[in-house]
Amino acid sequence: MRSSKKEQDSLLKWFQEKLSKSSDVEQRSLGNSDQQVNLMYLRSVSDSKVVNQYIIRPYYEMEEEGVYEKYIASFPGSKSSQDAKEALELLLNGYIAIFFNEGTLYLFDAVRAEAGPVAEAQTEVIVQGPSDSFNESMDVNMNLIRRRYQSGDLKAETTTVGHKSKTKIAIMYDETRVDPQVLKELKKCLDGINIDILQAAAELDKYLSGNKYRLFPTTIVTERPDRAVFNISEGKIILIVDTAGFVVILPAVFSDFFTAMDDKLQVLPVGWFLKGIRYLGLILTVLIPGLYVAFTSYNPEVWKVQIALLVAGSRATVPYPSYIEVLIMLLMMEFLTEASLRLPKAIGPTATTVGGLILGTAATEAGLVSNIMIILVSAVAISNFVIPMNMMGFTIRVIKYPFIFLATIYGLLGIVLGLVSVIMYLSSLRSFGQPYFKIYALDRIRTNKVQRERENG
Amino acid sequence: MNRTVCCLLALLLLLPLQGCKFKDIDLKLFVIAVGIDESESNPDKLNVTLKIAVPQGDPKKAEQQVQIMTQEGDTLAETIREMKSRTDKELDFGHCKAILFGEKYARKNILQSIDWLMRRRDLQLTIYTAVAKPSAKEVLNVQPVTERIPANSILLALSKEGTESPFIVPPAFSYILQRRVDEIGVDPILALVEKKSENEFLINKSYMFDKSKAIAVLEPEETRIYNLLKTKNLKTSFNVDYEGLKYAYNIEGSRAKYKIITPKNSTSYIEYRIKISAEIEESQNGVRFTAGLLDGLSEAAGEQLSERVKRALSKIHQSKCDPLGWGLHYYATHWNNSTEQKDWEDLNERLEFRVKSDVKIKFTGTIR
Repeated sequence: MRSSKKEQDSLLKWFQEKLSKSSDVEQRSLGNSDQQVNLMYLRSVSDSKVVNQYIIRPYYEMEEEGVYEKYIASFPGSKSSQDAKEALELLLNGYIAIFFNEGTLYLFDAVRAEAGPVAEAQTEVIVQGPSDSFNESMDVNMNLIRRRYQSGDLKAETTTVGHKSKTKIAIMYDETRVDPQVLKELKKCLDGINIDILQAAAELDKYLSGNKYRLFPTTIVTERPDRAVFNISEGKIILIVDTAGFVVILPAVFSDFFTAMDDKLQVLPVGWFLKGIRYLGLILTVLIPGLYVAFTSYNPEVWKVQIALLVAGSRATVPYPSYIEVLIMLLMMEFLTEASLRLPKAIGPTATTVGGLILGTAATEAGLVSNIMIILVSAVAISNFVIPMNMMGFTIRVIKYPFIFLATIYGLLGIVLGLVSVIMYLSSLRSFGQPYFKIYALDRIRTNKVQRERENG
Repeated sequence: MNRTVCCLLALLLLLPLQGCKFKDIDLKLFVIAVGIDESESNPDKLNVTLKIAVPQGDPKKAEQQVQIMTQEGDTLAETIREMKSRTDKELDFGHCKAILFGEKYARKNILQSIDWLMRRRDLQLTIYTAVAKPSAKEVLNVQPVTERIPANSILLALSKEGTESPFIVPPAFSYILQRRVDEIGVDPILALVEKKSENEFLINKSYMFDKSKAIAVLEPEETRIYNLLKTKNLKTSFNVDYEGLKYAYNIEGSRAKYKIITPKNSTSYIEYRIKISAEIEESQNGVRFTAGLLDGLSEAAGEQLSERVKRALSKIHQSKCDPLGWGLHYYATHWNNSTEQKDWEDLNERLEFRVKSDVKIKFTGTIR
């Protein structure tokens, strides 16, 4: 931006005015009065080491200002800004504004990103295979993906979301494999987001999917680069949210939430078995409480006579109807899960001990809850945690309560009703225009084949 | 909004469909077995006995409690309604597994109880049926020491889930009983449960029915022959006398099939062909087995078995009952609506039996 000295002064003034009440603003003048270079940056977001090393010291080592200007302009991170507003934004982001005497404004990248090192994945643990996870820095995250997907087809577009937070979001996808329709819809969605602050990837997921009252997650939020890369290769789109540590993968289908990254590492039959176990866990955790109510109160003849007598015997002392019994125990279990999640690590085990030992054993011995109920509740809790993606796990935790309600009112019929409605609902869901409940494996085989044919000529 | 209202309305409309009332399992009494006898005082009345399991709180304790209730009445339905006022909890027939007809009652007419069995919605169609001697009440009162769940031992025996005795006829589920009562050309046959002592019963005979009433008893030996003819690979052993010594052979595999042969100008006969492969299970005096001895034994065994089968068949035939379904077989293979039934009746009058048993004793049962 070429302008006279006067204008440069006014620009500097404008900046000073805008940042007048910020104590972390640093403004320095270099050189003597007629040949002056003004620096302005925010101490809190810019790296002062960079300022010293690359901006201030070279100035005094160079004879002419023109050489110095060229020196600054030659850095890959420096920009000559177009307008004041954008310049201010960059300044707030950690850039250093360098005002030259002739009225040129350069912005020099000295962003100090506080991001931890690449750590091990915490929320999606696997036994073998790559264990590093995304961290809070977008550049690191993009690096993690680029390193694993070395193809010129991998595109990365950036945009920002949030009026105040200006969170950077990178959209990464394989150009040849992505569905352009989905990409278009995503961009429309991103443009439509009207919020002040965006802090987490999961939050973005909420705004993207549109319907506020939807029950199931329609985008995957993951912290595993290998999952992200695998999904890119399947033609999906990755949204990297700066400062988040998680990325969003879309579009998602139901079965994606039951895939752990181990599955690909296992021997084929073992992988199938593990996957089967997860679906079994899903069915169990959703249906067990409802079935217990239906069978104890409406259709005891479904059980074998031995079990029927056992349940009847162990329920003999229980003063409440079965659905209240189930609700009490399930809510207790939810409290226990929440408590052990929120408690600081040092006192975390207390919740487990108190809950597991005292609640479980004492409640049955006091005759408030039947023995069978304790077994069922533990089975429900354990099989819930079999689901590898947390978002889905939380949804499933909620889903079982409607089933209890239906079983209480309609018995076994209610459970069937609930199952039918859940399946209908899942089939009606769309993730960025893609059917949510489709069997992805078949689809994948087909697209891979088309892909290979296209690539081979 | 509209959709939500529709959903709620649908749920509301579904309410009457829920079937039973919400009643927890601990407010129900499970009837495990029902016994039906003729009343001693009034032959027109029924004497119904219910065996009710009382749930046990502690599964570790082996002792089991049973309540046995008896009530007299004109019809089963009414009698059971009356019994309901004698208990504190609702009687639940969902787990009812056996119906026993007292011998005296069975010899009169069981059609009324079968009708009740088929109509009552909470009685399953896979209930085991049997005849009880001396009466259903007394058999239900038997408490075997090996029993862990009330009335379970009788179920295990009748279903052959527990013991696999060759002297127990295949399970006569209530739907099978009903089918055999309705079907022309095949008659019901039920196992006979006898009370031996306070804690032991005996099931090794069976009762042949002519549709509505019990006609004749098949002795253990005949019951076993019936099973051999009816089921494949019966697990049993037979004795054989050969050259003055006693042997016993165990059946490895067995198959029986028959043909109804109606030659012109002579009496028709049913030809049974029985194929058995067997191994020696027992022998007297430590004989050395040779291939020749096995051949001789096989031949003798075949002859002796044929005799036994023939005797049993003629007894079944003389009783005029048809538990093996020869009539149905005849109708199915001689299709002629107007005359087939009469043809069979004529033919059945003078029916003969020919039995060809092909016993192959292949193994000696030991390794040398």
